[in-house]
Amino acid sequence: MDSGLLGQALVNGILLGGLYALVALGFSLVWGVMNVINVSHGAFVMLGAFTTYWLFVGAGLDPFLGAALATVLMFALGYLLQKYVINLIVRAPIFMTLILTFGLNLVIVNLSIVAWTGDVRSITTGLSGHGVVVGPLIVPYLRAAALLVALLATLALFLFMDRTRTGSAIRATRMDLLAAEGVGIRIDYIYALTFAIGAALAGLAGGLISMTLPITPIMGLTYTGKAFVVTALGGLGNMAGALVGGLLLGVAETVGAALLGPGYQDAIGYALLVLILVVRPTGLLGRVGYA
Amino acid sequence: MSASVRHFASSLALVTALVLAACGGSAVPGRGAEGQTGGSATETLLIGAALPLTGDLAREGKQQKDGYDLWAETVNAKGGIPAGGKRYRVEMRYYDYKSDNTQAVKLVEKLITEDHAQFIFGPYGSGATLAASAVTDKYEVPMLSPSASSESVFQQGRRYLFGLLAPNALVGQASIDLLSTLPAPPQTVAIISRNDLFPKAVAQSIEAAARARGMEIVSFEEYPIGASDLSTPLLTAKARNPDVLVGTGYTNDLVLMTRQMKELRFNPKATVQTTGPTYASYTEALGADANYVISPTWWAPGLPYTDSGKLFGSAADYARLFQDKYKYEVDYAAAAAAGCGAVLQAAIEAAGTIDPVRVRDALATLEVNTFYGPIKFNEVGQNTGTGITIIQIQNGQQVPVAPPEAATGRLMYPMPEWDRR
Repeated sequence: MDSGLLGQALVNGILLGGLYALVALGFSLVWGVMNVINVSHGAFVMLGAFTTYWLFVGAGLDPFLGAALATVLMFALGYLLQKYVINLIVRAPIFMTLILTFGLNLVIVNLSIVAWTGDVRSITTGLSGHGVVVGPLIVPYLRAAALLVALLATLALFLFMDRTRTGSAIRATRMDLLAAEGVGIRIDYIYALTFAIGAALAGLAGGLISMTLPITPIMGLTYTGKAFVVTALGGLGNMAGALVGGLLLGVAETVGAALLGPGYQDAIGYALLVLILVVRPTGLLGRVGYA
Repeated sequence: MSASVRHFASSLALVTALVLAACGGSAVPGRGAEGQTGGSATETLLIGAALPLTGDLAREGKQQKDGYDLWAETVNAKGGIPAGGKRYRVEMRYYDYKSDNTQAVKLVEKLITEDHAQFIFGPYGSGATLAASAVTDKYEVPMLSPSASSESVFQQGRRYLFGLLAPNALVGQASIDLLSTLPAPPQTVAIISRNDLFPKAVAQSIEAAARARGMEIVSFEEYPIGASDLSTPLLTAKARNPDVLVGTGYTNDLVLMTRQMKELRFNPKATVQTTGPTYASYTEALGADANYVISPTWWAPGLPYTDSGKLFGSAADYARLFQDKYKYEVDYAAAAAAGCGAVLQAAIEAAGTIDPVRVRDALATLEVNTFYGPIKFNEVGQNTGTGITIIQIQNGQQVPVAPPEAATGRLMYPMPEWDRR
């Protein structure tokens, strides 16, 4: 195997993995805190991507600003959805949360197809496709920038959860719902806020994806699937876990494809998932009982 | 195993089931079709079609439906189809198979047995058409397909299936023929194919044609459906330094492929891609990066075909009518869809009846000029009358560059390297 090819596959894996990590971050947070497996998470990614796309095409807004705006809009949408829809089933058995969010996913995706058609779209700016050459390796600017934003967002979430009172309240709610209620934490508010943060992170990820990959209204479910794998790999409700799991999945897909052939790309990701579940069911950085 | 881990594992199973279920779905009737009443028409001819109006193939399904509808409206506005002293007004009936081929088969059967559709227009793509053709043959109802081109679909001995698109083998041949007539023809070819029925069939037809012309295939890589990164197959191909890169897949894949070719500074002398560059959305998504890409296609608005004013007029007239009505650019699929109507109409007129068996026989021997092109079905029911056109994207426009009678521009070869654009 050509070492240049392997090196480039590693670079591409890290760049792709950064996006996977950001997608999984919000998914893992919502699952960990609220015990809701949000199947419509990928649909939020798609909405973030299209918000960024339309702001770019319609208003000529720079996609990085567009992605920031998409983050804010998705935060608001997430807050409202939790308050008026998800809240209905938040303490129901987990199967109900799957059915509700699955239905939500169908509604969002099909409304988007009706509104925007199923056409493939992509944001192409002057920077698209250009990159910096480091020895035998090429690092595309936009993918590198997307990775950087993903890392910063993870850091920001970590600081928020670790250093603020609200963050502590979210963590407390995750650890022990009754005790959190007992000390006066407004659970409804914490849930809405958590779901909103999850949606906002999905929106940001979508915005970054729209700059580097083709987007369509049906792209979401792929990302929900990736988020699920990443969460299982890294450990549930664990921010560092999402990052590690995302990078691991990205690298496994590209390097595995380079070694075994691109036909195995998806198989490798899922084989890794099965392996981790057998060897370390809590995920790489997960702790027993923390879920 | 602790409770939380078991919980986690059962959640995993549920999500997997739901994600799989998203690819399926159950049948509900689609919207009924329109079609204006046209003057003296006395009887109704019911034509049914199952289409993927929602799900992954919603875009393709909509385009095909628009083509069918435009034909139905046009023929009704011209007074319907005359046959045996009567005039038939066309009514279309659609069902949505939600991009699920097994549903397509059931809905085609429903159209024939419950709705009593007299003729069937095809679902989208080779897979669904192959599946549905078992049903149309069973009930002896002719089915015209505007989107199946794989030979395997037609080599099942079906008597009632006819396809407007030229066979895949011709797609490969036409692309390679064009390149091999260049003053300094390319010597080496790398192929990257989506691991999927149609993209792989086209990739293999290009491979066979290139070998027949003495070109060397330096790599043949397959990528999975829904791949979100194509850097590995691209790097493998790049390492072999091919003169031509052939990429097959759908618009989504090929937009990604071209984008990553630029990222990885992969500079073959020519890029041939199918199918994607013939859709306006490809050029819109990539902007100037789409330039110089070559694509074989079954039809383009610039072709010199005409039905002599009988129905739509010329290929360009059809493209204009389509654009005015639906506000987006027509491509080969939507043209072939309306072409199905034109061909059925010609066969009914030739047979002088709407009796399905006699119309089937008329189709088998039909030779007619339409806006889509000259139609003549071979012994397995594939149209070999209309040749393959090769387009190249030049300044964001699809320019026909071959065959000579259809060409409005010259092939730009070799294409400039990414850094020099």
